[in-house]
Amino acid sequence: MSNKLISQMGLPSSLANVFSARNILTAKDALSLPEFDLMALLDVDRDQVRTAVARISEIACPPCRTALSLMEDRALTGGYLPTRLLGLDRALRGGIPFGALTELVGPSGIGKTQFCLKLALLAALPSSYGGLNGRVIYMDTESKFHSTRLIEIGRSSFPHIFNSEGMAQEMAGRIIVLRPASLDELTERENERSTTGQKQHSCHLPLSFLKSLAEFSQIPIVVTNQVRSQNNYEVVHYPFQGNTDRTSCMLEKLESHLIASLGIQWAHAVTIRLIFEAHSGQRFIKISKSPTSPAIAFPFLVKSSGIALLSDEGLEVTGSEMSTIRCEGLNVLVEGAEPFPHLGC
Amino acid sequence: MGRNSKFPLSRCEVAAAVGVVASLGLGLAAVYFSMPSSDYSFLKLPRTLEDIQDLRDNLESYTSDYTIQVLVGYCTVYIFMQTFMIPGTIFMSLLAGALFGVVRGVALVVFAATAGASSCYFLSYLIGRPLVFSLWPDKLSFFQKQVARRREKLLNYMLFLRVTPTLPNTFINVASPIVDVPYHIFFLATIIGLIPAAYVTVRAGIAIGELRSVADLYDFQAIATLFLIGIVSVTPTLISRRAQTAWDMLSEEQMQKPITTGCEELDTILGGGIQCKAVTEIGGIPGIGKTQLGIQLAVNVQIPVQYGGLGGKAVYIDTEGSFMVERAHQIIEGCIADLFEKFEHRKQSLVCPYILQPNSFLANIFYFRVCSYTEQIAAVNYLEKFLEEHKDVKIIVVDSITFHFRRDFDDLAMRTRVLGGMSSKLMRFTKKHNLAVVLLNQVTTKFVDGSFQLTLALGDSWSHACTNRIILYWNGNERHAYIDKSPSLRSASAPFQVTSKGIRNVTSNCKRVRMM
Repeated sequence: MSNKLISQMGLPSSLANVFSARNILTAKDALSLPEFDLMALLDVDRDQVRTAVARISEIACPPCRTALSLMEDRALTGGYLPTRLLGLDRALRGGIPFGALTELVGPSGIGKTQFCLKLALLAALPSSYGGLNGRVIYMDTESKFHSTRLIEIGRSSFPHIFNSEGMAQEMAGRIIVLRPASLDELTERENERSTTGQKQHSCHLPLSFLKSLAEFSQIPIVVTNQVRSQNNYEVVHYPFQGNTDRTSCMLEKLESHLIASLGIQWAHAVTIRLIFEAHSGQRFIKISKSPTSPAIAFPFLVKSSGIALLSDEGLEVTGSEMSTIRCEGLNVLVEGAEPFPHLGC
Repeated sequence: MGRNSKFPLSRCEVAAAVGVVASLGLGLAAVYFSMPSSDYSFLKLPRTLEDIQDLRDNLESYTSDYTIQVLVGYCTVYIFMQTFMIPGTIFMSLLAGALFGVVRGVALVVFAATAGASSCYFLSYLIGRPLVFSLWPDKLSFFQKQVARRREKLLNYMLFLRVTPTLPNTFINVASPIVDVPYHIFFLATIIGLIPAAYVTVRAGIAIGELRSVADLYDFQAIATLFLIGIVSVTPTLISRRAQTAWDMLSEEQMQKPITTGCEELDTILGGGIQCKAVTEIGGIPGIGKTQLGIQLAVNVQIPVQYGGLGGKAVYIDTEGSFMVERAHQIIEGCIADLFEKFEHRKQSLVCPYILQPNSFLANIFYFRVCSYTEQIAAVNYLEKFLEEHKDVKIIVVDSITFHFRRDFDDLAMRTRVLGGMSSKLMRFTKKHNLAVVLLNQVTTKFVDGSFQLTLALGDSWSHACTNRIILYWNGNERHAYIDKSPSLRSASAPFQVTSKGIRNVTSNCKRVRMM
């Protein structure tokens, strides 16, 4: 939309010529300049600039829809990828939504990749078994994808599908694995704590691309994220919250010393954030940010069939606990979980 | 009482209507039986001038002897004719003039006409409203809105309609309760507005012998006088105000309803809710509920006027894709349920039932999905034309204003100028179209006084662009809203809760409603 050419917008030809003479070719160029600057640049009077800008805006503006038509479209396309974890699906009102960015964040070894493998499988399953009957693109930046594990999850969760002839091959064949090298640069820059301008730029090219991809193709997009330690001078409060909270915030800092990587801008950008954390001897999936559900944490275990919830009811989480990530006593070989020698996530 | 969907009237209403008819019939019968025996062949409903002259000749002697009976009989017949919209009341007025003279005739006619109009009003209220609701809901809601908009000057308009012969009186009687004209305005307008017309007719009745036809009654002079009186009564509505004094603005501000947020405490610190004619910026960390508040406002602006809301439409500009339509549907259902609960004591629905459906609320939210800052600027520019076409948009929500501007701009000075242009445009919309603009903003960190602090994004120069600034934050385990900057509101903080129904008060037991 922003790259539409001014020459094709039906402006009066004198005006269109002036625009192109000054090298303002697309809608983006014209609208990035404030009105006064345009007047000075094009050397035309205000009314003409105003009508020209109004015409360009009308064409460059996205189409107007009513929420009712959105609802009807949603009803047609379905809208969710059910995760087969009953409590989670109920809380998310169906599952991982289409057209939005879902983030899984947690310390290493907690089970994010297991969850992703299960989701990839669920998307590839035929619709008769409750899947999306589609192909999956799995972008593996940390080389954690193991196809043997994938088949194992498949065999344990859906034995009747996977033990029939050729199905395992077909299911696995629908998952395309990419191992991009360019995203390594992103994580590297994050650790460097470089100047603000550069850091922001590098985050956003994939972000906007992912978001628009999700929306236009109406598919679910799931990303995983790492955690990092919180530094001493990390921001906690607004200026009006004053000094009275200093003591309590010191205590908070001692307890929760992990936060999600990529900062607060990334946190604003994702639609749903699921935090994987461990405390009190159990692992939890916590719905931290979601437009349709309150914050609930479900205890879970990693099993041969992927992830299984220990309780479908979940605990309510309130306050700033919603966004904290705890990693206490996390051990790969936890009692009750079956050990997997090839588990390296 | 059951309301059958096929037959729009309840048993109660049918019973009341039958009761009114019965009592009038009884009154007529009483008069008939109490009259002395005589030749009553001339007693019929007058249809022509000859009938009147006949009646006049015959009744003249009675009026002095049996004044009460004649008066009661006359009133009953007049009221009966008005209630059931039987034509010919003009002949009754002529008769009054012929029998009782000018002063008493006018008094009698005005009394009987007002009583008849009132009974017709109530009958139409009981029967006509549900009938028309079920037959023509959209046309009806259109007229209701027009009337609601002109509420302050309604008396002037009604006076004009009564005095001048623009609309037939029976139509005014029947239509008024259906379009929600309140009874006291109707009563005042009728009792004052009928005096001129009654005077003209009664005076003509005195000289009934000289009248050849009804057309003589309304000569040019009489009609011109009536219109003059009508125009005098309606002039106050035509004067429009140009430059306003602060005093005028005070009364306007007091009348302008704010948009409720759903949480009473939050409404209190905001002075009733989000004010129209102002740009309000709302910021907070991710997950605090900015989008929830945005969607709640887009829904609450649509609460009909009869339920205390604005009855307007909403424009939602979504830059991040965080608008989930299922959540909007849920919030709408919660809002409608709360409205019904609050107005439970009103037996009859105040508006067409088809307005209070989730689908019609959803249809009133205009959604723009912008994917770059160019589109955002284009959308704001295009709104100028859009708002001319859709005059009943009362709120514009931009969620969020920051997203595209934080990344793609290298030249920060240019960004400030572009943002300034956008904000002044939005400010202009609020003043010109009398609506509210709500901008949702993200947070960033700022190094102040040796430590990092949270502040709203887009810099210091942007903070001047909005009228009011509200920050949503966590206070312990509760969500709070803090008024950071406002020219008219005091800095204060209020707790609120995000529930499955939307934004609500914090309940005392602190247990949040579980989503199912």
